[in-house]
Amino acid sequence: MIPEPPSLRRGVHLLARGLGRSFEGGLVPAVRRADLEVQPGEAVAIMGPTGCGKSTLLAMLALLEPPEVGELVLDGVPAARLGSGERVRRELVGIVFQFHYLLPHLSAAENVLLPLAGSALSAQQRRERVAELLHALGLEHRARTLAARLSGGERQLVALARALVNRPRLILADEPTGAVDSATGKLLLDHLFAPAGGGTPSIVLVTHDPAVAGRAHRVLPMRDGVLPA
Amino acid sequence: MSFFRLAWCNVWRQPARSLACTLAVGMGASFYLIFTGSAAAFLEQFERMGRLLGAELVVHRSRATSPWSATLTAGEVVQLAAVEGVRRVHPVAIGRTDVLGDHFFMVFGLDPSAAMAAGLRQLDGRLPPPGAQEVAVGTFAARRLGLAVGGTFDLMGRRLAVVGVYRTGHSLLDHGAILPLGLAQELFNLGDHVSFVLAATREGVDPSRMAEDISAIYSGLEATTTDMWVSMYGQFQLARSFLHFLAVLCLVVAMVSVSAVLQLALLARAREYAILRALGWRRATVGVVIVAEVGVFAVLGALLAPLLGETLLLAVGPLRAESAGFVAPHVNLRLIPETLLATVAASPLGALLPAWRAVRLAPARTLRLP
Ligand SMILES: Nc1ncnc2c1ncn2[C@@H]1O[C@H](COP(=O)(O)OP(=O)(O)OP(=O)(O)O)[C@@H](O)[C@H]1O
Ligand SMILES: [Mg+2]
Repeated sequence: MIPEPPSLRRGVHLLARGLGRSFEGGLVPAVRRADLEVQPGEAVAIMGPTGCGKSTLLAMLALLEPPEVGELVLDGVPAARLGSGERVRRELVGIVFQFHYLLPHLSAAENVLLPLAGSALSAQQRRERVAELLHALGLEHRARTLAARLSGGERQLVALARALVNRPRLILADEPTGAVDSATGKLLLDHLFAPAGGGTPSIVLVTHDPAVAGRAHRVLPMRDGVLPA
Repeated sequence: MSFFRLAWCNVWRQPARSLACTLAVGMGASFYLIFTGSAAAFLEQFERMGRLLGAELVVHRSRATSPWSATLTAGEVVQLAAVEGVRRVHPVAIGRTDVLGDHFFMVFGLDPSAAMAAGLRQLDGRLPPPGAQEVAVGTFAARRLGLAVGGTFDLMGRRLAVVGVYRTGHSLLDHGAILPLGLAQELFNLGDHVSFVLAATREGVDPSRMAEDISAIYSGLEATTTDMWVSMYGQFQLARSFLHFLAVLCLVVAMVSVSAVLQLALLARAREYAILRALGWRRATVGVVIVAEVGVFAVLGALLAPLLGETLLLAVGPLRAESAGFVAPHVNLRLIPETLLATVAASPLGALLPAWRAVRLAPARTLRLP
């Protein structure tokens, strides 16, 4: 995988065929069958009731959870042949979790720096990237504040900055606006769909909010662990 | 965000816990310092004794296990004195006896030369000449036993006139006594045997060459330069190995307790490690964060070790006086770099289990935990 120049970084083509995953030895079928195709640069929203398997599906797309059945293909390469999940997440994927999952004892800027550990960028370049993102999100004055001292909305914005810092070609966002007010939610979505630093990543977005889903190119309903093609 | 910075943050977020870990490592390192220091000090005593007598060579029976096994005959001493290149020989008979609670009161039987008397750092009175029923005592022994020049010393059932109190600067001699060689041989039933012979070489003679020659010519004897002296004795090697084993054991115990503390912390931090993995951190990098954290404890603990060691020795002060003549536990500042190195080298031991458990966490599952 040769990384493209940042300005040209475009979305990946994602193809999921018949993904399935259960827990507790098959007693909890979290995702029964998910079929999904995302074109490069396309934003897809997934909506569905609580417990229907949306987060589990995103975990499989992020190679955090191995599917029991089905196939995941990124840019024509089966995920199994892409190397370790860590490497794919490091180089390709940005994740905004359902809960912000910041490290509370690190500052906002340090949290955003985390995905760049082991990247080829110089310390200076890393700092610039972080500053650029925090500035774009109106958080530069909070850069040195410990995550534990940030407000809920600020945390979610920092979590977004962290997901964007490695200029991902695929963004997986799980209810990014679930816990923030509408103004912050709008700011967050603006940056999710048009990330600072350029590029047109592919986006898979999970939400309960029809207004949020409306900003995606397509909205797909999920029910009882099934995401129909 | 480098892994080291993260480790450093982890050290500071729970100061009490980190202090406990640092103190545990510090204790282990201070014991390491004391044990290795004592071993080195004990062995140094013998080297310095050779130097005190102006000798470059030590000759003893081959395969002798300790310097107090007296096995050289008078005939052999005469032969050695006649070897070309040897300027002077000092036959020495060492004995050990109990004196008022000191189980390692060392008695040195030797006939002092003028050179030796001059080499003493301090001498009140004189050294006993050959054939006299007299004794000179070390300054620490004199103080402990209340002896002074002009008094008498009851040693092994013999009443001896104290003719000198000396100070050499090394504790085996200064806690013991010097007798004429013949008297020491008599008291310890050695016949005409001596423990070893210290030999001074003539100008221009290479001592190590000479040592090889003597060992080659006299098959039953073994000669070595004084600085290599104690390395010849099996018992000393054993004692040294044992002390070093104890020293390392203390570091291991310290690291095992650090490991236990970090595994408890792991319960609280599992989610964080899962987040890092979800952000694309390699297993190895997550492991290195934990190794680095223990490394910080190791460095801080090792730097604290001299202070803790001194405090410890102060606390066991009375015990120290008891054993002072034999092994003098002390904090040897020259061993601090070695202690630092050993502690840091032992630190992966403290990190191994917590790091292994941290990298084995399944990120997705761990993130779901409440
Ligand atoms: N690791 C796991 N072990 C056991 N059960 C699991 C696990 N992960 C998910 N589940 C179960 O699978 C089902 C789907 O969970 P998931 O988190 O994917 O739902 P969701 O659609 O994201 O719900 P929500 O909208 O509330 O976030 C749930 O019933 C959940 O309890
Ligand atoms: Mg969910």
